[in-house]
Amino acid sequence: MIGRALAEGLRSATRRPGLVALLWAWNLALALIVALPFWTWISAVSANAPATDVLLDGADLGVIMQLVLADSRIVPALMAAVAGLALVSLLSGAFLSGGILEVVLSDGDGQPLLLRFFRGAGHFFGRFLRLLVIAGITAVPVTAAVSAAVGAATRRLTAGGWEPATLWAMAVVLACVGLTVGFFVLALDYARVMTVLSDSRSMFRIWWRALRFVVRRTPGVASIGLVAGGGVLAAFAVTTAFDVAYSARTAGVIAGAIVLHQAMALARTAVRVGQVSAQGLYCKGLLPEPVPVPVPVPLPAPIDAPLPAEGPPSAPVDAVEHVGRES
Amino acid sequence: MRPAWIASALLVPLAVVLGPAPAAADRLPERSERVVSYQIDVRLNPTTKQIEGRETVTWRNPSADAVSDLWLHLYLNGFKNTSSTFIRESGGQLRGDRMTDNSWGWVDVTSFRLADGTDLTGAIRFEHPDDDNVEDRTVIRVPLPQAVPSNGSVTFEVVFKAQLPEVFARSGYKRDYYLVGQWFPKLGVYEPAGMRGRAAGGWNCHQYHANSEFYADYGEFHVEMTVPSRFVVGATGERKGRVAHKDGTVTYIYEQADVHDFAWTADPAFVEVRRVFSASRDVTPEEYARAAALLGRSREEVQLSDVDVLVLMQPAHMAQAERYVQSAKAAIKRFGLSYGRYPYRTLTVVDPPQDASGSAGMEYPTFITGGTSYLANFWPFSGLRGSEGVTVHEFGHQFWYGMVGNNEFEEAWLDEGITTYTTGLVMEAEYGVDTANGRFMAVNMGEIDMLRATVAAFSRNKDSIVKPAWRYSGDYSYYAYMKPAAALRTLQGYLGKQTMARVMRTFQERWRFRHPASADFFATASEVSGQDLGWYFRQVFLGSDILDYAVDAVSTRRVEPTRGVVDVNGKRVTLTGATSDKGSAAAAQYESRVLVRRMGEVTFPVRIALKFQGRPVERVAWDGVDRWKRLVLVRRERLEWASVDQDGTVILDADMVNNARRVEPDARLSTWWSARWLSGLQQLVSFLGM
Repeated sequence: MIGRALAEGLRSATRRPGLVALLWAWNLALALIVALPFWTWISAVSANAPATDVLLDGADLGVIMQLVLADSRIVPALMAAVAGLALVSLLSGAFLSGGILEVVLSDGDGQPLLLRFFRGAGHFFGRFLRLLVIAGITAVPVTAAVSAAVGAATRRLTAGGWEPATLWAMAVVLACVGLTVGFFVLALDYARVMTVLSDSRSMFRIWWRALRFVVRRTPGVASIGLVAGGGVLAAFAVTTAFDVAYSARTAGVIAGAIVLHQAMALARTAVRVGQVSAQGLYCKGLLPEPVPVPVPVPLPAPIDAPLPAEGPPSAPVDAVEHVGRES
Repeated sequence: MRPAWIASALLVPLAVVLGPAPAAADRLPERSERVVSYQIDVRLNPTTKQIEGRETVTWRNPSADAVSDLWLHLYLNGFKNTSSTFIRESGGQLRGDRMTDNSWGWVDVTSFRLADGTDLTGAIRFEHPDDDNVEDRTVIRVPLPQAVPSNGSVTFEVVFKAQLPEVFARSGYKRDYYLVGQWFPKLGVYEPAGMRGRAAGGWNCHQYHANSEFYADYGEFHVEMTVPSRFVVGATGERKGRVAHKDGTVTYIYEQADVHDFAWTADPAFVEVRRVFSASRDVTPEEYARAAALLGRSREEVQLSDVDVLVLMQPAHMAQAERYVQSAKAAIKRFGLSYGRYPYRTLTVVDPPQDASGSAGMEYPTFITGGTSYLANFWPFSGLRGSEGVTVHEFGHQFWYGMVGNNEFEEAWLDEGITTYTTGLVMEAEYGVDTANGRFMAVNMGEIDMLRATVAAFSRNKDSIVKPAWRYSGDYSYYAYMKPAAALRTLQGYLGKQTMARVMRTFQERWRFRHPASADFFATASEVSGQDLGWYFRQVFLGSDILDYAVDAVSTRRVEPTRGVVDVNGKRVTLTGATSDKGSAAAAQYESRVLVRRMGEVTFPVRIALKFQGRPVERVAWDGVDRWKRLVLVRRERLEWASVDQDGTVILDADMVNNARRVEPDARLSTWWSARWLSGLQQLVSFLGM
């Protein structure tokens, strides 16, 4: 099941180059908003300054320090810009996720990709935003509690002053915090998938179900997450290796690096689409088949006839195939 | 107790000796004057973390004065309470370490008697020569019933009891680890008139300050330390004996002459790593020959001697033991070849536990503390040369503080600054210029990079180098360590490596086992270099201004060929401006303009490098005195760039980015770094936004 979901997910990404390209372009556009001021600044300080050429070979702390000190406003400005970008990215994520899931989980109804994407994005944006807030409210105190609890549990290790034990204890705390954050990130992913599959509007309920799902299906959920994480790491490793191996003294190397960086950004996006697709398939395969809901056929009632009696209560709906939308 | 730096400033112009001849070699003194002698018995109580001791001290009056009192340091009282000058100044934090609830420490003198039995305990008075803090208990004065005549001596016995603090600010304990430094009542230095610029003789005995170290006179130490038998012990000097007692304790006996301090350590966890530095095997004949040639000394004068190296390792750091050993041996060799033989038989290197880092990176005679972390056993942290850097630096202090015994209170740069400068040279020679401080992942950590970064970051906060350490406006480590190191590097660039090497060697030869002042260094540098360097020392060491030169503007434009009537070889020729015109004036030429500015107040001679297309770099000298200099050059080639200090020798330049300017902008760097920045941002957006 996990393998099939992974394989299908990756196939799904390769079958939808338009979606991958759209997401890559979206991310690029967002990143450019912060990258352009940086480019303006570094062009101004470096274009006529040969002393900065050493940075073409790699980082040089002395030169970086002097560039930064030459304009004390640049670091706070960049930090503020990055913080703003992070916030916008989170909000944008709530928007994009609906579009991605709409495209990868529905069979397509012959409508253009952009239409389906933005229809899904717009349709689920409000709910995914609420999910994000709920996830944050849940994750922050739980992560803090985990950190405190593991810290307390490992305190005995550190009390003896044995340095390796101290560092290992720190590593254990960090690992537990990382796992907790990872758990909530995956739960958020599955909550979104479940929202789309069920078209539910009860976000607390969906969040609770997603948490239970991730706990009960840890191996499968983790496998998909690890494969996707591995793909992202591999892309990162390729770009880093290139940057370290080559000095950017020539235009050819710079052009090559830009192409490689963007190719890897594209690959990361494809991996993410594949991951979302696999999560959807995995979730779909495990969730109970939708229970047919008896739909009472309304009879034409005589004007003065008594109101029809209430029908039997519906069975609880865990999920339904997503076939329509509420208006 | 007048600060000697004022005298130093006045003496600089007088000390200069003009003339190009380098100074003749001075012989390295074999021993100090041995002004003082300590015999100390001390016992460690690991339960209470206290030591109880008894010291017999003999002091010889080196001056022409009759001295009627004794001044002693009680350094551990710096940790006694929040009213001490040390705690007031430090706020309970020092060297990245913070006081804990167990960091209170003190030392009580319970008895003070002269050799004839005269009890002076009741006559002890606390002094506070540096501030008005009557609560400070780190200096005592003991009036003597009879003055000590010139060249006479006095012997006294002090009984003391001390509480060691939990490690903070160099000294103390952490669980079973003890680094016992500045622990015994220690005499100040009686400075005769004329010494370090003093007008009249007197005691130099400062309070313990947060930002200052120590000052004491040379002598002999015989110390017996009694500890429980499970402890492994290391100390200043040579071990002369080990006596086991029936009560489960052991007494270790150590001796060392020609030193001005004594420290020891004890920890049951220490792993002893013993090696020998061999002056014949660890130094090649070529290295001896090169050193002799560089310094203008004979082969015999640069001969080194063997040293027993003991490294006391924490078990968790054993993977780094050989790094300690190797760097210690490299330091013995390179410092020895450059500044004279390390004269002691032993060197003890202590590796403190990581959570006792307050005691790491400290120097005592023949005894230093390193500092590393368990993480440094593993990549990428293993690429950093932290343990090597600390070991080399602290060993360097054997020369600058240990043997050239400056007053660390008043002129900290003479030990910290010179040691930082010479450490950099040793690290570069041993580990490469670009990777002197290691390599972390893909980033090289060169010494010059580090100096430049520090100068860039701190030079705008103006203060002078020559100043009592506790009176800096802040950034003690910049003014005592980094700025002097950058200033000495800059001086090296100005004088050349050979002359600078001879300056440093001569300074060591003249002042080994003595107490120099800044003025003595300035005078030595001027004398050995054969030029008056007062202009440099006044600006950089005594002044607080910054040094910064910039190429402010560059341009190049085609000059239209001359038209009209010119005389060529006695013939009148009419030039039309066409390329077919005969005569040199008609050839296409470019006029290039370069505007160089002095941005800071410090003046320094610089060379302006000019690069024309297809031609080797041209250099133009400028004395750097005026505020600006404009060069107008007409060449057949276009100017590509202009630069001041193209060779990067003026390390003190506060902004090296403005040192050069090219005519045509180059977009490679902005494109490359923007692309990387963009890629990073895309990762962030991708992680948070999908």
